[in-house]
Amino acid sequence: MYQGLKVIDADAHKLENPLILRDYLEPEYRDRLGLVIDSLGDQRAKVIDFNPATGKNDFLRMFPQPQGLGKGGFRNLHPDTTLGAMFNKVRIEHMDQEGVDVHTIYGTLNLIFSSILDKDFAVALCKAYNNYMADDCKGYDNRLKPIGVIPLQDVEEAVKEMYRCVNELGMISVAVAPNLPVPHPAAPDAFPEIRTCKAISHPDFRPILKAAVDLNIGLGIHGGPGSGMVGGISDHMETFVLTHIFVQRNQQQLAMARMVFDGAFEEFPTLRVGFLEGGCGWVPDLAHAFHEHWEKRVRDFDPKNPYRPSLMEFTKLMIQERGGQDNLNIIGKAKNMFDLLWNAKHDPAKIDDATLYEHYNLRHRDPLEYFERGQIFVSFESDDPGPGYMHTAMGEVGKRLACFSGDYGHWDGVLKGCVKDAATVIDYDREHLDLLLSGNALALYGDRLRNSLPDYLKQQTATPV
Amino acid sequence: MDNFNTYFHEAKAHFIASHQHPINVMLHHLTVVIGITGLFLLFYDWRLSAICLFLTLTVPVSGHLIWEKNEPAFKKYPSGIMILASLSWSFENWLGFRQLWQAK
Repeated sequence: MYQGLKVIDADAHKLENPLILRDYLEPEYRDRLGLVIDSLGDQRAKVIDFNPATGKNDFLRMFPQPQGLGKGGFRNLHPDTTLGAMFNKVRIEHMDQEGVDVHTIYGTLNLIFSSILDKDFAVALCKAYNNYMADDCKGYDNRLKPIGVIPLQDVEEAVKEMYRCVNELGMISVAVAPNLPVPHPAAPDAFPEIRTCKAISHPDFRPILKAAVDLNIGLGIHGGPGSGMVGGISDHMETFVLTHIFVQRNQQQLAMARMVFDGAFEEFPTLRVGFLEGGCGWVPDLAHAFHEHWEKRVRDFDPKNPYRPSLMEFTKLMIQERGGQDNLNIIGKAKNMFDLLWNAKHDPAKIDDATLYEHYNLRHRDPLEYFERGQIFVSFESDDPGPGYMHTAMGEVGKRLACFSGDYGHWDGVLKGCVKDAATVIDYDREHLDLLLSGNALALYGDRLRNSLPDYLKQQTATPV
Repeated sequence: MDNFNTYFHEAKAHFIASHQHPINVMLHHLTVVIGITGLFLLFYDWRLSAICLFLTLTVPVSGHLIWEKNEPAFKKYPSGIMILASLSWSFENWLGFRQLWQAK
């Protein structure tokens, strides 16, 4: 608790204990997952994956990706939280020390599961992780909330696993990758080095979104560096620092934009999604861009009636700017150009092509409504100034989007003073602070979190004074 | 004076841009000739001047209606400045002979 307010960490992490995770993995897959030391002395996960070139399971991959563009992290173990992220006894001590009531716990190695090419192996890993975490977090006065993981490679199995996680393992939600890497159509043989992606909003993944609605869970989208997922600008960075500056926010921005403009929030108006670990300061800017493009290129856009400048006005301005003794030449050139660019043969009114009407099915809905109606959430970490200005940029809705996250367990997380630092970025009013520290996380994860809070929190009023 | 110059050049550019059809262009040069002739005819027979005045209105308007298919320039700018602009334009082009020469 922080000054009588509940504190829910909406995106804490587990560092999977490799000795335990392997025990949960079906025996046939155990030899395909291990640890390896890279050439710089760092620990990496070793995955023996399907090799598209040979058609066999002989593709040695290291996660996070140790070298190359978009490389993953190195020297990544946080001195304060590594052991706590593995062992819950230490985690609980840290939670008590900092006043964090609940951890919703995402994985670390599991962030790469959707990049594994062998889909059966990916399914097996997800099941193993989910069983491991369900057992690992039992007890602890309901303060540890493991978030399951599902494989995007096999949607049918993913949906089954969602139901199993929630209904059988008692989890409050599941995590999905923001995108699934797929071969780039211009270089299919160079996959996975050269890739594009299917975003989580892709029609193939709609059963997952539907299941989230049917299960009434808040879907957590979580990316990661060096994972093989498409990461925007980060894919073109050769240092980890530069990669990491961009990767999380770019993956979330990509996922959010596609969820909005692919119509996922329109199809599922009660779907709640957390775009996690990407920060929140960019949300007002991106939301504005959504609105502006919807307004100018979807709602008001008429491809059959494009602007055509007046030849006379154009010529007049040309004469003013360039004229003199050459007016006849200017008039002739301008007329020729107009005849070339605007002619009856290419009359826009007669061109009927559906691709001219982008996102036409969304013309009735301002994307800002998806924020207003509580479908979109993001997370912020303790030293992030973003939550302090979101409401200034977006109005009241800006208070209802960001969920506190300590990023517990990861190298860039903050342990000491994490809640206090988050609470004092600006002089929040109490209601606003309550939303940031727990209210927004409760809205994201919904009744499955609300109804399974520790008893001492359930007894508390919603907004204590 | 600077303001007038700017305004005049803008009006003149509009005049030039709105007169592009060769027949309309020649009709406007003809209008200038008729107008000047009408002035001189005042000293001989005012009725001939009146006919010239009538022609200075109808000839250019018909050029716009029939050939150019746009609005006469004085619809956007007051006719006074357009008379000056048209005279300046016509004299620059030697009452149309220069354009005929260039068109060759």
